[in-house]
Amino acid sequence: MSTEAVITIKDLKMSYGPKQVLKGINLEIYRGQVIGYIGPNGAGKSTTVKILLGLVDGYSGAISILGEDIDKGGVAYKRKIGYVPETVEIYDNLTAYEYLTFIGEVYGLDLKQVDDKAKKLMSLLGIEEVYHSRISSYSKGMKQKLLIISSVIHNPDILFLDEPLSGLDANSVMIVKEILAELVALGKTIFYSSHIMDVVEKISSRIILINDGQIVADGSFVELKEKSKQGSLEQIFNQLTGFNKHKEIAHEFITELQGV
Amino acid sequence: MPEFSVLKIIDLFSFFYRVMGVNYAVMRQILQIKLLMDRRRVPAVLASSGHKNEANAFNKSLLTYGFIGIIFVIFIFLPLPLFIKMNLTMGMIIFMVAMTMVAEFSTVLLDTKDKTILLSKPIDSRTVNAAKMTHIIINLLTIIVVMAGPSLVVGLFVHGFLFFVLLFGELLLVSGFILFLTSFFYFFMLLFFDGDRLRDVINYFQVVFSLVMMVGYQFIGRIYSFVDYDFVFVIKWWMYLLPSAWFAAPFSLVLESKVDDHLVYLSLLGLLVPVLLWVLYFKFATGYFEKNLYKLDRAATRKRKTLESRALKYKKLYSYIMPDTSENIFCRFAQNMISSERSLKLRLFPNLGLAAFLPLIMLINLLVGTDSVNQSLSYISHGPFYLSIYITVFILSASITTMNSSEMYKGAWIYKALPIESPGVILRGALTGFVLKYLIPIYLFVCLLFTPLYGISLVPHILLIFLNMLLLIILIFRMSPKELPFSKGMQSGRSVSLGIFLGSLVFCSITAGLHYTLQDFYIGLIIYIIVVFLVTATLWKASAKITWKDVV
Repeated sequence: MSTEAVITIKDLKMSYGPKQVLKGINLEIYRGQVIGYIGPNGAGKSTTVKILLGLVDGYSGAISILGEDIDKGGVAYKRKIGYVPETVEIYDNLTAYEYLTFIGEVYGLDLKQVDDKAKKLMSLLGIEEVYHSRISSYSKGMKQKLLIISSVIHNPDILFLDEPLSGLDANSVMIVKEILAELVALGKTIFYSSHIMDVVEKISSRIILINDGQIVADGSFVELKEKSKQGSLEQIFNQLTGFNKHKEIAHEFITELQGV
Repeated sequence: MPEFSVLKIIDLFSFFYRVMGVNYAVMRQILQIKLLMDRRRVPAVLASSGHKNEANAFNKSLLTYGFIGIIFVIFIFLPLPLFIKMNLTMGMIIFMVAMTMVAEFSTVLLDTKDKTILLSKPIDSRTVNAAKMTHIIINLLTIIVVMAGPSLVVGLFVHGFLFFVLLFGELLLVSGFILFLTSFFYFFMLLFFDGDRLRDVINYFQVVFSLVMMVGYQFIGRIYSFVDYDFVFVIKWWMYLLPSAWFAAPFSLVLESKVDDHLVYLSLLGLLVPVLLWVLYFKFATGYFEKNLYKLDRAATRKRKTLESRALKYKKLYSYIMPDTSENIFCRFAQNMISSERSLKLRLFPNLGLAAFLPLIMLINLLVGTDSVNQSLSYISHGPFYLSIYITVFILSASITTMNSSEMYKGAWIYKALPIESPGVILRGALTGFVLKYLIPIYLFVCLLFTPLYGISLVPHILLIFLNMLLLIILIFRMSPKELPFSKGMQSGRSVSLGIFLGSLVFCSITAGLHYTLQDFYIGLIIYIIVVFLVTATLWKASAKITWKDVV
């Protein structure tokens, strides 16, 4: 692992109206790391990713990606990042062919070249037969595969993945995990957000836990385990987010059901 | 939850449902939810205007149908034989109601979601189907009552009580006929097409429906001048093929006591066919239909190599017009978006159709009622009637703001995630794509309509009008707020702001006036063309300077 920082975040703060969602994030991410970015709902995970991508304005703090200060208005760094959004809100009236060639062309690929590439990637993931069908007619898994393809089609250096495995079958999950491993071996950096702790525990080289707009833990799984004296990432997560009432809530839930 | 008065009427028939083994209480609840959802849907008749208040949209659409119904009353007063008159009325009712059923209630007929929700609960399929059928019939009868109601009431006063009873009975038969017609249409479509293609077909029906309504209004005022007063009619064999004739025959038979074999046979057809179709529909079609509905949710597999080579060709072609590569990309992106975004098409295409046909309609209105067609044609070709193309210019230019909205507007994050320095290339690229693919072909089509009348002398005029259109488009583009294409929801208000509407109207009037004064003064015309060309070109060139901060 190199020590070259690809993403530097300094004192990142962000508010939606009176609600402060990010309360000063400081982070340095190095080339070749797989960052497991975890936290409860509403902790500010998606907001961080959206700020890094330039989708959201109005934050304070300094962010530099691949040596470029993103606040300066430059967009060159966006050529080198790929993004799988959590919610599948894309222009799904288009066909995969139309969507992928559009994105590829904007990234500077040639139309013919991106067409061939997209077709090849679709066929490797087993969805080549819907290449010319509207994305809206896809199943959840097909859509997820398409999003993954659209995020890597320009061969980016940094990948932001938000629940990239949702809707995929077990075999596809294995393929995607292997793809991620090989990308990391090539020196790419992956920023991985998920709620599925088992996966994060296995694939991440560094885990960052964010709670209430602040980083509450940062380190490899082994380091976190030592610090918190817990066996699994799930338990670490519960401990650090101060949540230990799952049993009581579940019990009450059942009592309410039985009452009917 | 609101209580619907329709349900109280259905309560009267609850006995029949119970006899058929339907769980009436459950069915009533399903219906209540379905009717509630109907109220929240924005109907296709109103989709082109963009409504903010969803709750009122449903009532407004009923008002629109009611207005159509009032127009049908005109037929009752036409000085024509009763048989022809009723033929027209019935024909219009069948046509409009069937169109409405296809355009508005495809969601009801083609609903596949309700099964996964309802059948997983302890509800038997008989109850679910009964609810679906009742829902469809409620919709159908509501439209028929609203559209035919005015004719029914006016007919009662003009032709008497017997007419009222007869029309009422006929309407029930007609509703069965239409129900069969529309389901048969869907059934047929499902046999050959998968879900997406069927949705496209329904979308085109909705577009045509809106266009027919818009164009129809242009003719209503002149309907009396179309009527040939000395017209004597004889029943021909082909009238047996017209469903409207079956339903019109009884009126002539009963009210005018015309005993004619043909009229009797026609009336019998009008009675037998719908009854037979009702039986067929409930016995066979529904089950078959439901079985084929699964196709709706299936992703189609298509191989379309030609699409890929065509995209390459267009990219090359457009590169001559647009030197900027990014603009070229967004130009083709916008074209793909417009051609596949159904709700956008529903808002856009009827307007484009109107732009294409309005000058023609004006010409037809001029021709109708004159003694000789040749005479009026030569009259037209000697006057500056090509100036009516400015109407096309007006409608086409105003339509460019429609491109901001889309049903999938949430997908607009992609613009910001992509490495784009200046959003100017997005906005101008999309605009160019729209103008190239839609506005220019329609403009050329309209010009083609006028060339037989004026011949080669039309060329400088259509060139000038074309340049004026480009000028107006770029003016609207520069003056309207900088919204990214397809980034606003469909319900976010009217597509054209009042300012743009009035401004375009003023622009078109002034340019048409200027054009009119210069029409025979060729040097002036040429100077005008050059000036407009230079201004337009400068404005187009300078229009891509937009920063991300300007974008709203």
